[in-house]
Amino acid sequence: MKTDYLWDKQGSDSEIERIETILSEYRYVPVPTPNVAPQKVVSPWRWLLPATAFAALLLTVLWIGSAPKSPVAVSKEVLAELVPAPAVAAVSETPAGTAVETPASARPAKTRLMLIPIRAKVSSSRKRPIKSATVALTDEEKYAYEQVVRALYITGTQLRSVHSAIAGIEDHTTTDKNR
Amino acid sequence: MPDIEFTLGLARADVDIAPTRASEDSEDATLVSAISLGDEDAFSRFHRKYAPLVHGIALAKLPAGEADDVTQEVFLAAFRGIKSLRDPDAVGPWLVKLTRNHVAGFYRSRKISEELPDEIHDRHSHRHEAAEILLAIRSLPEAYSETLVLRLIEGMTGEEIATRTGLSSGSVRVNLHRGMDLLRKALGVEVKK
Repeated sequence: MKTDYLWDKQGSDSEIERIETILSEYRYVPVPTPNVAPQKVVSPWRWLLPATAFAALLLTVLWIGSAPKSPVAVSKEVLAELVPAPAVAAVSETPAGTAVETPASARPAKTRLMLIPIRAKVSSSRKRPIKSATVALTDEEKYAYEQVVRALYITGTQLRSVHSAIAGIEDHTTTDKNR
Repeated sequence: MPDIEFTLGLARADVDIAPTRASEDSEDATLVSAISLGDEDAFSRFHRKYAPLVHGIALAKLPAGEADDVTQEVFLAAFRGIKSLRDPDAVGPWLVKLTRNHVAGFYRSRKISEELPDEIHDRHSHRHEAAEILLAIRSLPEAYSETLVLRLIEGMTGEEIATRTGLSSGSVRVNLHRGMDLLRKALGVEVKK
């Protein structure tokens, strides 16, 4: 039976064997399998949620801390304990927002001057919603607020840059500035 | 008469390899489904089995060092894209096609820097001769060059080449013999009758 070394390597063929030996240096050398383990994908947006949450929390705290106090509803019984009787009568008739000073002659010796924030009828126990959103900030609070806004601006700019780089969009902001 | 003998030989060979090819297909289908589910061990077996094939196809066109890199790239791409494979039994031909695409992409995107053999001035050195034979193989038509690289360099038998590339045994046998004749001519060796 005629063998065909070129087909199935049965038998021998000195010429082909010689070529195989010469070319053996090119033969595939087994290497480790490429690493295909699922890798944790790091999203460029990973800081967005924590940063937003932190900023929102900080702003909320600042707003609450600097918000004007809501009108105090003081019942007549409480007022009666705090202020002598003549003053209570005066308070109930005073227009909203005015300070009530108890007459010196009417108050006891140890009673101190009281400023009662009255914006509505004192007898009214219903709280009114705050209409004005104007916040008076202290210097420290202003500084903190500016820092938060600046941090949000920088984070937003960087996220836009990353997004542009991923999407392959030219950053027109920098281009325009360079012109 | 030689034609009749050749035809009979082909028929016998086809009958002999039929069970082997079926079992290979079954094994491939199992591997493909496991890899699709993210089985890294299955991928490792798949890599061991098909790396010589991919390397051979790449080596038929690329310098040796680049062929190694492309081989790894092809397997990474295969891992990502194996879910899109419609016929798991055809994973071999799919890999061959994937490798050819990567080779074409390689030529499009990079400049080839073929390293010259160290002993380039010594025309009788072993490495020089190897480089010369490989260049001669690469100069042949793709069907011949790929089949000869798989046979002469990667050491696969004709039957293995047919099974893994999805070609018929007859085609591989013809490619081997015609390719070998052309190689002998290219190397200046008298063709055996």
